[in-house]
Amino acid sequence: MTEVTQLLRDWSDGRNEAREAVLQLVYDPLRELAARHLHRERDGHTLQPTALVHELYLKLLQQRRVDWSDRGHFFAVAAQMMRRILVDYARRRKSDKRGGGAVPVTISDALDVAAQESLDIVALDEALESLGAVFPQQARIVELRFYGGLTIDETAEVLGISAATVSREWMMARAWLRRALEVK
Amino acid sequence: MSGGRDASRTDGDLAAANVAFWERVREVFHEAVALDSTARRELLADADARVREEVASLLASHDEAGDFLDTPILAHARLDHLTGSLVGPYRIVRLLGEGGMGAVYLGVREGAEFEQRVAVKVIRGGGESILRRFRQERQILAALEHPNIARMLDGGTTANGAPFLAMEYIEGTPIDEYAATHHLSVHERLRLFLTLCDAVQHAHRNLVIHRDIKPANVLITRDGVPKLLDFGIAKLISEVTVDATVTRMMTPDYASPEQLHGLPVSTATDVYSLGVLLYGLLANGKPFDGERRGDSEPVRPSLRNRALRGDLDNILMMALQSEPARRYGSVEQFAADIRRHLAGHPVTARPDTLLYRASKFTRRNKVVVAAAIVVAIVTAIAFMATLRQKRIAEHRFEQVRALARSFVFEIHDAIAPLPGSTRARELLVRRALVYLDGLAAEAQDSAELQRELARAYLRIGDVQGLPYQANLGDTAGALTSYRKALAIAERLLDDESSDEALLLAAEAHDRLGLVEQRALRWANAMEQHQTALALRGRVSAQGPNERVQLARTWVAIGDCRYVGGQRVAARFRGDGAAAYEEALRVLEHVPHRGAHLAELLNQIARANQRLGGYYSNPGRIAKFGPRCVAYHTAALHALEQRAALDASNAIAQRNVADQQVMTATAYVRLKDGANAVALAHSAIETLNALAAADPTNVEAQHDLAFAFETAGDGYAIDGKWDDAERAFQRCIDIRRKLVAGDASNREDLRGLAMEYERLAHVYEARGQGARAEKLRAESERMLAKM
Repeated sequence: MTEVTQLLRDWSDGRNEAREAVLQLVYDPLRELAARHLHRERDGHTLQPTALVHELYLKLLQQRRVDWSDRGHFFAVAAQMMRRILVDYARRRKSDKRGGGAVPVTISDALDVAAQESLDIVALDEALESLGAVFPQQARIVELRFYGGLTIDETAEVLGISAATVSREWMMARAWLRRALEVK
Repeated sequence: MSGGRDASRTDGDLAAANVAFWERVREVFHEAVALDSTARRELLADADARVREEVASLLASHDEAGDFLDTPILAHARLDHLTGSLVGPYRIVRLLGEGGMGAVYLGVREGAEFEQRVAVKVIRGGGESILRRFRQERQILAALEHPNIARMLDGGTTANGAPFLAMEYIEGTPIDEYAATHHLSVHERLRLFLTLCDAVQHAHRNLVIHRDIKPANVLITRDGVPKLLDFGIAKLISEVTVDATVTRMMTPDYASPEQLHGLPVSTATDVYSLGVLLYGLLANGKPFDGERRGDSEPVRPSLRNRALRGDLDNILMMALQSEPARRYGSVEQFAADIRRHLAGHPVTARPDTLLYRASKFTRRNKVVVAAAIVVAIVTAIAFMATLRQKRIAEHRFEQVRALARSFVFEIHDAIAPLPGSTRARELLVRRALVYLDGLAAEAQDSAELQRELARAYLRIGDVQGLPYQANLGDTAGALTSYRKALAIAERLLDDESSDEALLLAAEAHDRLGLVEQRALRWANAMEQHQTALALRGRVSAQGPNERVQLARTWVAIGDCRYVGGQRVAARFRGDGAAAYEEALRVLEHVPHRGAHLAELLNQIARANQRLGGYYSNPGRIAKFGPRCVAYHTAALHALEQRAALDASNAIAQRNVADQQVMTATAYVRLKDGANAVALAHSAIETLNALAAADPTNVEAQHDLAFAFETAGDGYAIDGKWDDAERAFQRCIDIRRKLVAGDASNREDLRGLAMEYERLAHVYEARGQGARAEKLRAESERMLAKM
């Protein structure tokens, strides 16, 4: 069993330090790649984090040393990474825009897509953080659903809870996050 | 320090109170969210003020949430990397869809006075010469102008050098969906289809074939106008895509047989796909049940929708002919027939004639169109029955007989090696039997025909369930067929004792014996083989074929003696080895040339292999070691010669590898590690090649596992522990995969347990006791589980 696989198991057994370790292990090489990519893009007029994200996923998939046989865990890690990539990107963009720190960086900025234009990446991240402090399970559901693209059923499978529960908690988490973002 | 502890307790209490509060909020929210506003108010009235406030605010947010967060980020992120960038003169707006060959984007022309929306298809692949061809083709397509064809506007390469095509962007609904949601009548569907035919016809006149007509490529705009997308794209893509993925990418449901087989396409290809599309529109189903193979015959549309009986049935069946030349000659003709039907005139499409279908196989490549041939066989046999009823001229009867013979003896062999042909073979056998039975009753007076029928029954029995070769697993059916053959042969023997009849009866007895052997009814088996032996003794002309067959009977007798032991009748008991030696003696002077050579070598190998096995028995090997090796080596030699006769015969190759492993096992028993390893590695080489040629061949994997196991045993004998470990590890890997692929595979599961045991022995020998213990425990656990 590879180190990552073991860590993934530990994570699923509820050992949160394992989660951090997984992210470090998988994320660091990717972040390095991301940095290079951003550097290359900087000279051009358009920055394309979507390409970056896409490439990151490909790299992740290509990591043959990692036993990704557990699809659920893969998406869990992927979702976490997606969240981090976006937030990192948004924070960097914010600091780039000197003096304009208050301007939010939205998901459509990051991904160049029409939808979700009003969603502030950093604000969403912070709201999710505070949700997680109160309802950790709801925060994980959001992470898997929104960042990881998992369906209700898949989320239920990864978390080992019923689909009905996922559905219920998702509903409330959405209400919570939406309210948190509105207040801001 | 005590103060600090107090403080932390206070924090803890606060946190606990907090947790309780939020738990309550959650509970009330979940309960309230399902209720209407009045009921919600009542529910909240009961809650305490803080909870009420919190839940009310969350409910308000929930009611406004809409599709908030409903689209996952990934949905946008996947392959969407061109969004926002310029492709040619087009600014990419968003991703419309993606597939194996590339992605389709919505784009707008940058700087145009009015917004021109285009579909931009970016294709994977590239290369200079390919791009040049791509440009030429593109120009032809750009010249295609028709109100029902989405225009090709432009093309070129993206900044990254990937070829792209820009096409008129059509907003619409796929034709099948449109017909369903608008509840179109059959008449309206046909009208819509005719407009589509006009478009295809126009393209054909411009020498462009669509190649990928399917509902997703036929969109109906809001105004009800059909628009055909992606004309000629499949060809363009096939030219720029280096690998052969295009055919795989094509929706096999709509692809024509010639496309599925990678044969040249023509306008008839589009006729076929249009036929499938119309079939779906009218019959509300696909033309093929289950998984479509090669030349599956479509289900008559009227079986799905009775209203289609008559013209439409015939029209669709004509368009769906698997042979291009049998379809409508053009889309124009196809459309004309539909117009005739709509106008109440007689159509040109007619039910297929039996005669045509029965004879068409001869013009076609046997293997490629195997499935169609099976259909043809069945029809031809039906045809034969019709002929019989009509009592038409004798020479026609003979023709049909020859045809049937070819079906049963040649075609079956041609399709047998095709993966997944079992069902077709079953059908062949079942239908063939019905008519053979009829023919048997009919032809009582002709000895020649009777002999032929007996041979056909033997053959069919083999297909149904002759042990130790690929068969349909229908043992009862096989027994019945063999008995029918035997009955015919016996009737012939009643009339006169001809060699042919004797041999047929012997063959039937031998086969019955083999079935009995498989069922472990050794006494019965022995009776059959002894009878066969007696019959063969009465044959006057003992040529090479007769000798080879006689040897086979002797091997069977040896098996009954050796394996059946005390279970066979006392008068037939004896030493197995003596029977095997008798087989070898019979074969001694048979010339090693001629048509019988392959079978001769097989029998020599079998007899030697049996003798090798006999002497490698633990009780004998110490004394007869050299003899054992000599027999196995002789068997190997014969099998190698056999394989050399026909290099493409995978079974012969496999037999060689099989024998190599067997010989290697004998060496293992003789504690000759070096020879065991050498032979095992030869086997591994052959088996690897076989496995590479056919990755679905589970049997080859299975054999490989054995070969590695034997190699490991050989290394272990010489104390080459690292090599042994590697070999066992490879064996374990293979068996694991086999077990994972087939949960009921107990043989490999048991094998796996044994491999752990072997590996444990290696570790032990290297002084890694703990690892060995662990493996032993695992091995025992697995065995206990079984």
